[in-house]
Amino acid sequence: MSLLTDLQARLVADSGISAITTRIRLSRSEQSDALPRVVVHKISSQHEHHMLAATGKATARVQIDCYANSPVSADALAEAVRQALDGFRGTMNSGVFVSMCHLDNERTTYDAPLEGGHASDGVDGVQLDYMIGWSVSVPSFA
Amino acid sequence: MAKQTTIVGEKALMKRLAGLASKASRNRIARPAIGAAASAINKKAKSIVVEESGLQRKSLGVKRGTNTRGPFAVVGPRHGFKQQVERTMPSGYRSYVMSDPTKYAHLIEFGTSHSSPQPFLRPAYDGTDSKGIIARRMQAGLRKEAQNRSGSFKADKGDVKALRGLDK
Repeated sequence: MSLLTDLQARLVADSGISAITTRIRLSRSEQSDALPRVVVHKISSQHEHHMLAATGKATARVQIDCYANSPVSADALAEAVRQALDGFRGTMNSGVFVSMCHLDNERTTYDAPLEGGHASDGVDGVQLDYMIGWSVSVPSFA
Repeated sequence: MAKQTTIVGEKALMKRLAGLASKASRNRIARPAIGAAASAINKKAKSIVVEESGLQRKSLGVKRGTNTRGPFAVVGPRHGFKQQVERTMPSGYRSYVMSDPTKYAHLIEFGTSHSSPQPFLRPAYDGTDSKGIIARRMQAGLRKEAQNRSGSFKADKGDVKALRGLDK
């Protein structure tokens, strides 16, 4: 299991988020996916090294998109995600240890409907950037 | 047993250090340091940005400036690159369309509800040791600034008297 699948599992298991939606997707969502939904993307990750090898510490920037039919619903979903993740420290489902999980940035978006659609048919979203520090296994070379 | 220590030229030293702390001096040292860090981020962003027509890569650049808070640099798509480029349309055909990277770069970086992000600026920022570049360049700038100032250094009469007193 990777950090992303662990994050997905954590978000699915969270009661606050599951009360709003159970559609938590990784990297891309299906065109048929209804709203509201959450999409998790890994934007970048850096792995730390000392003079000899990897330290087993890594930091990633993860973008979590919360999409809904209205700005209020999108905001409520983003708040549920924040309650589930911001400041979390501990072991995830598969044993990945998360040492840091900080909400770094938050943006609101609005995707207008296609031509001819009503403004309320657009998709409102809140994009959250998290900085996550976690432990990775150190490769050993025999 | 008490020992007395005399610092000769303390006033001149403090004056020179105070000179280094002036706003003009600070900006003179910080400006190239911030510019160098921004250039490194820009270079990395250009290397990872997704390419279809190459217009967005071409438009990426650094804008440098100084405001009341000090020098700053902005990395991103610049104005003045609006032109016709060949693109694959949703129908699958290739066609020439008018494109302006400042109007769509954010959609590529952050994604939308129907397209995944293809980030280039945040990975470039995260993957560049910008603080290290700034620290190293500022250290070198500070050293240069201090050396330039030493040329105009003149010991005052009090310093000369004190030095003569030490010789006796």
